[in-house]
Amino acid sequence: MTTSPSDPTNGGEAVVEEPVSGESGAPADADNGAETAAEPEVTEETAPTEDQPAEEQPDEERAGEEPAEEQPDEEQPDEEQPDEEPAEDQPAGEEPAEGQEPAEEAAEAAAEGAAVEEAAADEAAADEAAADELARFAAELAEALGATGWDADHGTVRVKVDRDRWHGAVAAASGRLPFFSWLSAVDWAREVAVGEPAEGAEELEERYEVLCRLSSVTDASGAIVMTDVPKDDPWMPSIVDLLPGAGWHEREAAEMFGLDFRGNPNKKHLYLPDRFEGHPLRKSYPLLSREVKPWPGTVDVEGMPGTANVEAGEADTEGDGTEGEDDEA
Amino acid sequence: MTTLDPRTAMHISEAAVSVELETPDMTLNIGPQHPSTHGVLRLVAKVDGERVESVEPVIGYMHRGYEKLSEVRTYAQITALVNRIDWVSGFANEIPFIRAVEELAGIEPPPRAQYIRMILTELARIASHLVFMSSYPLELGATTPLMHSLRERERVLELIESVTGGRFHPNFNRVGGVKPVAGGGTDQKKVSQDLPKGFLQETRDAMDKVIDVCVDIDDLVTGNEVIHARTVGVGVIPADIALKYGLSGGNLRASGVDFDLRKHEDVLPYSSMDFEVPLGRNGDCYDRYMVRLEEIRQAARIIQQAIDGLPSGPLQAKVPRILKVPTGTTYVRAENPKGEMGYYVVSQGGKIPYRVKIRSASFSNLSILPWILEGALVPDLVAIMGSLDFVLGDVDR
Repeated sequence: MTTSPSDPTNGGEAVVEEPVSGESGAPADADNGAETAAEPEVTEETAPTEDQPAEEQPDEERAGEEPAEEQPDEEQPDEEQPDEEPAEDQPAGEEPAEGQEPAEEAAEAAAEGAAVEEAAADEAAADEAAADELARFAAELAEALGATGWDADHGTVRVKVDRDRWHGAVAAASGRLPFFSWLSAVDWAREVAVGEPAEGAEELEERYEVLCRLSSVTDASGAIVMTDVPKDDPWMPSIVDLLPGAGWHEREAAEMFGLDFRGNPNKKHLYLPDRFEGHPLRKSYPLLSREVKPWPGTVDVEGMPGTANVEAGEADTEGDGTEGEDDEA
Repeated sequence: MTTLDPRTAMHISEAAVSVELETPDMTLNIGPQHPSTHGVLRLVAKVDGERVESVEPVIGYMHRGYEKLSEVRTYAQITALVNRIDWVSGFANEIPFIRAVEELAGIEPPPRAQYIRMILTELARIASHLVFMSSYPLELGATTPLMHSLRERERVLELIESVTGGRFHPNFNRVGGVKPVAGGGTDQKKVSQDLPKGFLQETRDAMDKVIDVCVDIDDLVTGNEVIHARTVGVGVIPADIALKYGLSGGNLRASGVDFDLRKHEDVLPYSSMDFEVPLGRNGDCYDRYMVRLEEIRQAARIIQQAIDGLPSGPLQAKVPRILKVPTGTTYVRAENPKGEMGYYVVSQGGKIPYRVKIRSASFSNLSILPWILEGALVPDLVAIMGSLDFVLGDVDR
């Protein structure tokens, strides 16, 4: 049976990829796990995979993905459109071609499709322009900060600097983006005690990623300055002297990830009790409540990863009994 | 003891001021259980007579570890968690998270869902600010505004409850839209199962009442001499300091910085709404109060416009039954009643996020306490703290 992209009968996986590919920027990549393993890694040479037709090959690898990212958008509305308008159960898309009155319907559909496509094209163009604008901003900021890499995916500008340059980079960035939003970290680990491991975890470069978000107060622009901290030498220069508000954020990151923020005058625990041992947000830190008692959700409709009923379906938007029956019919 | 001649008494009191009294440093512990700390916040203050020398806020009594818990929950389950961050405006917490997931998954919610989200967010904002309008004057000694504000807040909470089923923790947002009313079967039925009957008219009426209560509060508080004495020129935060501490929301705007994410970010369709962003001039407690009072009126305006412009259509975009969010990273923020609330979501292509960083407004808003309380008078301590309008759940996460 043919499955239109958003046909619910298709169940789990195949459906999942479809709406996803619209924005993910790498439609085919999702299946090629290994290549995209280092997605969040900005500096790494993640050249576009083989199946991408165009040789965009940008010098800053992220920039090239921007246009590619938007293209699927153009198709999307007119795939979905026939799906919503005509009768519920028909596998849309096929129908006009094989239906009773192909000519008329096809013409109508074509006209509608054209209009939709046009609107979608406009929208996509606007999106693309916005994405370009963002990429330009990111590139310019990266240059100003002496960054080693940058990306501007999903409307989020991230600029990567070396740890030695952290203090100077944050100082320079906060000159342009005066509002200090937050500072935190991400633990990239090959093995995780809780949750799902990262994509391509075996080849991951183990590190902490420290992020500091700054933003403008006159428009929507903002950027995350980030750096890598090796796990065997987990210290960071503090930026409290520049942004006093970072003090608490650094204390939180320090206790949660075991980072040493050199220069922060207050190294007491912020949230945790004084004698607490361990660093809870490290991926190696187990979630004790789960160790003591298994997740009660395993008997729920919503399957948790790593449990028996993963396939039992998920209480997403349409998660109720009747819906399931409808799907089978 | 002889009877005091009033003239002598005056004389004595003047003398007392001029004499240098020895006031050895004293450590004053406030909280964690204290009515004016809005939860469990502990302040360790070093005081020299009536002056506060330094204050060390001790937080974490309510730390629930939502960032860790998010790493073992599916995206749909996290919505239930984020409700509880700032429980005074639970609905508003869901918006940036849901929008972040939608951004990563490439799902665009239908316009009607976006409008409903906007209406409920503004209702939450009104509810949150009305709590401030009741608690803040109370901390300054005025009990009456509490009665007025909480009455209208109850009305607003009932509206939220009528749509979502929850007064505080709606858990109403779904990736791709909003929750259809329970019992909905097929897609077709779900479209018809929409806002409760009469909701729009009730909301309109309620907004009129909310605007009325603003007038009441105005009469009771705004021009009140005692309130002026306690708040004007007290706890002044200059704009540059506010930015460096990451103050946001009404606290930042009271310092004169025109920064409202509703005007900048497109998480909800605020761009088609006509509203003003009230600003303060001095950044003192009084301005912070005034900004919030005006924001209630503006929120009511937005709701009325949103009801007028409420589009029809589905409440849900097509979303796969098992939602896997493609690999990607995004930071999405929105204007929570307390300020900038944002989520940095790292997805690795699975059903659960790899990392969720929660940027909550009150955490940063509260971090300025040591700076702002240094050198303040002890009686002003509560006035300043209250004016920052924080919720400990939002601080501790």
